[in-house]
Amino acid sequence: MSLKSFWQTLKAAWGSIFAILIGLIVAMIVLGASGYNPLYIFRGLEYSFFTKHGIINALAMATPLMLTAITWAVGARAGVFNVGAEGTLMIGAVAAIAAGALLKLPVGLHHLVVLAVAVAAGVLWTIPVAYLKIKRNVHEVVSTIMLNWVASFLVSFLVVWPLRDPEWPMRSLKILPTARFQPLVAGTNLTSVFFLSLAFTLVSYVLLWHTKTGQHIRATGFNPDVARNCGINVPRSTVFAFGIGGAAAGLAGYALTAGLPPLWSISEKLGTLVGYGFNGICVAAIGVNHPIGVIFAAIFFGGVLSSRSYMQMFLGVAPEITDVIAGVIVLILALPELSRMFLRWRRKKVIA
Amino acid sequence: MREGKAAVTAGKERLVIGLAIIAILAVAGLIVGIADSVHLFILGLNAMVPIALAAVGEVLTERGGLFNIGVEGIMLLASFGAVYAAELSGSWFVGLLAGLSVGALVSCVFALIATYGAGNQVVAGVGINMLALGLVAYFLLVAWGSPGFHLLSSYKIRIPKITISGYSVSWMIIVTLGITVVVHFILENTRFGLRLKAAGYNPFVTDVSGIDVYKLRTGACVIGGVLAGLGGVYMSLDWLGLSASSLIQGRGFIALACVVFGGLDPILTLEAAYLFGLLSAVGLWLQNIPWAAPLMLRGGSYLFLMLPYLAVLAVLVAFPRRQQLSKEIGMPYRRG
Repeated sequence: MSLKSFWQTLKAAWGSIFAILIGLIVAMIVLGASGYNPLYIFRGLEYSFFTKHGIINALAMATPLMLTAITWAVGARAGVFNVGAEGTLMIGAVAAIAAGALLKLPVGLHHLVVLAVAVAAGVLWTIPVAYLKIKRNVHEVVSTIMLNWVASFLVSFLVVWPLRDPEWPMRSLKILPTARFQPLVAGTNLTSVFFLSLAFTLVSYVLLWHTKTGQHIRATGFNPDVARNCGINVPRSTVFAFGIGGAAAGLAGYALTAGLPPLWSISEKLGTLVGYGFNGICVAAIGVNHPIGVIFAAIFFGGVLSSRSYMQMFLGVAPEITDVIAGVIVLILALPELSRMFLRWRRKKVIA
Repeated sequence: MREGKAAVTAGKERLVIGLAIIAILAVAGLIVGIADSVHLFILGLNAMVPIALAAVGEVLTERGGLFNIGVEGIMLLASFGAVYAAELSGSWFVGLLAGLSVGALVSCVFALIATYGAGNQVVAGVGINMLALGLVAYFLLVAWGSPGFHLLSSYKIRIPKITISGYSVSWMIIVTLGITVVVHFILENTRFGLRLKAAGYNPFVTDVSGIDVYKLRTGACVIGGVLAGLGGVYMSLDWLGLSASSLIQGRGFIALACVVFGGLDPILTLEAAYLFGLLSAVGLWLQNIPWAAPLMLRGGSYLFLMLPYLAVLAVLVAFPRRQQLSKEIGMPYRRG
């Protein structure tokens, strides 16, 4: 790595660190305003990053976050705003449940089939968005949000009726043992799906930065008019970006069913699935829409999410405080100038 | 020439949507009788108000050149702020004012990021939505200790209704219709409206003519935020009488779809909002009819809940926008 690119990395990371700091400060203000000790937020993070159980939990949370972040990041690199990870993840999850509980196949093959079905479902659910954008000029944020709502109701319906567990109302069938991932450490949620999502993230890096298709996708995002004039098939790049995003979100749904002990199933209210899509946007923003950055951001934000249960159980803080942090971080990162302005202001002060 | 053509198309589409609405009501009238049909009509009006207010506000915002995806979050924050202030003060009017100020404040933050900061508007909007969801869920728990939702503690702080020929309806319906006409008038007949459209259509030329594009855009966005806030206040203090973190349920985004469909024309946007309001009312009403009962036992309510969202997608597929009104909408404008 040359010195210049090192500097650039550091500069990019500075923006993210600045946003995280502001997010934590706002969370402290919110905690203080509602009568809690503002430092509780650091007690939670201490649990996530300095205890064995916390770290394992953080990595487990990072597994789907990484993938939903890739959904947004690949879209952003192609110049589209794919906020459909939330719904696509649910579709991937229910597809995984259907294939994992209804098919009877030997170990290994069953894993592969369930994986393929979940990813395919994610891609198929996302392609209409690309069609609407290219052919019908519908903004992708509107169509993906509509599809998110349709997905959440559709999946709830499927859990209540066709895929319901006869012995446990309000829950879906369980994925059969032949397609499950067992926890790496007994009593935790971390399974080897983590390595699968890590691999997918790295593959998406190679795809975007070291293949022709990826270069075309990024050129489209950089400036679609120039890309078109260079002979790049812009609609094709857009479809690819949505497709990769859909695959990533479908895989996240797979990770949250086949790779989520101890239940390997979903509930009617979709409690284990909600929130990962939108938090993924935050993770992608922290990771500057770069797969390698996303990996670190996901592990950090997985820590933030894993501190939720700790803060709720031991400190009595409402877990939604982490959504406040995520929202502030995204809001600050919408304005990349801000962190630079802050640096400039500091420098001026020093000179004066 | 182009302007004239666009006006003709808008007129035709107004007619088509109007006919579609009449057709739905007529079919309902044939099936369930006139009385139920009138009831459905009013349910549709109730469901229209939040969507229409947010959508008309967004028309103003987008005419000025900003694309505010944060309306959903603004509505949610305003609905909570209104309930909180109303519970504290014991007066719905204070709640209303609080909700409007929340709308103004949040949209002002968005507008500053989008104009002076030249930030990414979609990312900022998504951030506002996430922040709103977190803040409302958190403070619902802190303020009333209730996870998820809070019912209004007394009828006094609910916005009073008026009675028109035997039907008790919200006066916010009339306000909504009035605001739509006023916004239409402002856009077509006032200096502010003309300048705003110029700022949205071509900020460079507008700036060179000595008009402050940033100020205009911020102003329009704040008005849009106040209207979205009013929509949120209506939902919590008037229509449903509760505050919840899942109160808005995508209505802000349905409003955005209405704006897309309405082609930045307030009247057409209002009609689209009524169409979606009516469809969600039909969805709720279908759940109660006898032949749906066996389906309801098996989670069929979820299928009916999907209806308005599917309708939005279907309408967007059926009536494509041929071209965007301006490429500048949603793009940051940098001076110099």
